[in-house]
Amino acid sequence: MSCVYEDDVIARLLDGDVTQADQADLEAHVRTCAACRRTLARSRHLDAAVATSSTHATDAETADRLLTQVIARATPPVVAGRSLQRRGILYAAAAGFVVGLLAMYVFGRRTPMPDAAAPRDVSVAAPPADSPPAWRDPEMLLLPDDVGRPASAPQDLLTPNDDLRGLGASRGALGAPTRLDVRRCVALLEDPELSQACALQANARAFAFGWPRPTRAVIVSAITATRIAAGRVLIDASSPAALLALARCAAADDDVAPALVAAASAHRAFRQRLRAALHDTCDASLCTLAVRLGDPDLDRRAVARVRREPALAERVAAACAAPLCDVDRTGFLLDLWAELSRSGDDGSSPDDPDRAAAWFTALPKSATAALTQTLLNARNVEVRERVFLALAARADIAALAPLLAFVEAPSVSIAHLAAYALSRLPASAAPRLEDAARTSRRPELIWAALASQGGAPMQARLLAAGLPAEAVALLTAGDLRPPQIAAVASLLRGRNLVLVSKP
Amino acid sequence: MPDFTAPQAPSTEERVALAAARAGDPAALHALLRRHVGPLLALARRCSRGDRHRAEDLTQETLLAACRGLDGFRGEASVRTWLFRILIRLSADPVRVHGRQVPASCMEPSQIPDGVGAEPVQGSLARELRERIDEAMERLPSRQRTALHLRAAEGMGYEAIAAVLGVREGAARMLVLAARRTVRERLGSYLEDAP
Repeated sequence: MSCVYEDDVIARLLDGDVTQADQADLEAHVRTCAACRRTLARSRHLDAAVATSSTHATDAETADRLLTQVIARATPPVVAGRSLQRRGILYAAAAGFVVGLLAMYVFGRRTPMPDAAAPRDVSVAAPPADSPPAWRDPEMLLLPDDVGRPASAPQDLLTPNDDLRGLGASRGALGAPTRLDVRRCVALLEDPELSQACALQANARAFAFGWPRPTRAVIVSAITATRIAAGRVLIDASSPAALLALARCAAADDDVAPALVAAASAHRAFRQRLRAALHDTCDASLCTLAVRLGDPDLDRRAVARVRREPALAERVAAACAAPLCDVDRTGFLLDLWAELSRSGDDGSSPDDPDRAAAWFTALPKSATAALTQTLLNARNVEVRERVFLALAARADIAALAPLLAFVEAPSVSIAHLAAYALSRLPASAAPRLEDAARTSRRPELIWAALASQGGAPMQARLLAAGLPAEAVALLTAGDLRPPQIAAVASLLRGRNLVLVSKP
Repeated sequence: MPDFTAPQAPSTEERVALAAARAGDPAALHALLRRHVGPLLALARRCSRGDRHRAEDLTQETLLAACRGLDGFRGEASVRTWLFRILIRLSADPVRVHGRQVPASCMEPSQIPDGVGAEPVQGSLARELRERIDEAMERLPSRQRTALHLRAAEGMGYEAIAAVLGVREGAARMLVLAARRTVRERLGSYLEDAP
């Protein structure tokens, strides 16, 4: 049952949008029309229910919290309508100063100095009125890096947008950033295009000051600065999403990672959150971030996480190769290696030269000294074995002296491993190895190391020493493993290669 | 009958608070905005299809934009209308509010499950009615949803609703009419049987 006037009647009666006379007529109609009566009752009920439903959506505590946070953030700009003006004046002055510097730099480089008496206009011409806005100009991203302006000069004004800048400035007073801040910053870190848009927006603002087009290098640095600023906000945030975004950015963005890791490493609460996350969450980027911080406790958590998820090992080890902290990472890598070998989950043997090559080759130069020290201090045979393999992988001539010393060690197996590490040294170590062979108690091991380096002269000496040609070809093929070095040494035992080479 | 005479310009009290807030008085700013936070949250909740966290974010974003735009407020509409207008504008910009996440409000209304089909049980609680109302509201197109909320929950006049939505007054009236009709149909017998 329906009435052709239904909607109109209901709307006017509900809204009170009728004259007194019309209201009487409408009410008379409603009394006689069941459809309108029913719809009117249902509509009134509906409006009341919508109002009630909305009342339940709010609570005073939430409202106060939201407003307090907002006012705390907004007060500096609001306190001054004047401060905005002051900031505008500062920006304009800074922009003028930078533009002046740039113009002087350009003129100084590209044009002869004009007559000192002649007036010189150092201001940069404003862009033509019909030119497209800078941030929409596709050419802007294709500019060569060098257009005669120092890239660092405008960077100060191109760095993060006002929101991030303001947030960074007021963080101390406000404590943790709001969930909204976190979401924005997570989005900035996770989406490079969004970072770019944000940086270009800042760039557009700078363009409004009348600058010429900035260089690509400046734009890129602005994007990086935007991401760093977002990351610094996230370091203060307590949400798991913030932590993950930060860790993933630190793992993937080499431009941003050093600044973020430096900021994070000084932040105690951040490390506590990271510790908890390492325990609760299986994410490779969390582990890689943890090991980059060089914190012993975080290292232990990372090892525990890798023990549960051995597949993470290679990424964690690779993270140690990125020199983002001053703390030596060889100890951590040796511990991790030992843990994996103990658990046996990774399917590798304890003396795995391939693992040593993958983990230790890319470490910074100081790692050789750290490994040598570990070798001297180690009492555990397995630790020593791994250190020898690591030193062999690094092939650093700085380890020559301690390795020669270990060739003379009472333990034959240790001496074999030292010879193996010696065999990996570069050819420049050969003269010192030969000298050492003349005085060594185990010259055959040093000759074996030299033999594995190959080369025609060494082949000739081995043949002259009475070894069969087939064996010589095999021995000098290079890339011998520790057991093979031991076998070569046994072949060479008692043969005087010194006399053969220097009659 | 609700009072549909929403003020069309800031009251004297609001003007005083506005002037003080513009001069940098945080207490005045608090006083100016505090009474509107609840209604903003309620509208934000409607715009966020019931997502409480998103509604809080949207409200916060709205308040922040209002604080920063105080100097630009011309006083032609009430403060609440102005705030609602900011909120509606921000809610239409999901990237700004939600980063790269696709908000639930991007879902087509037809994608939202219809939980209103079942017949109500006699003696069902008022809470159940509210839930059915919320579901039915969520399935409305955003303008209809906002218009009905402003009319029924905030008691705003059509002129103010039109100002919030950026439409003509007649269009605002039609939006409310259509929204009421749709929700009535979706709620079926709930509106008669519920307390």
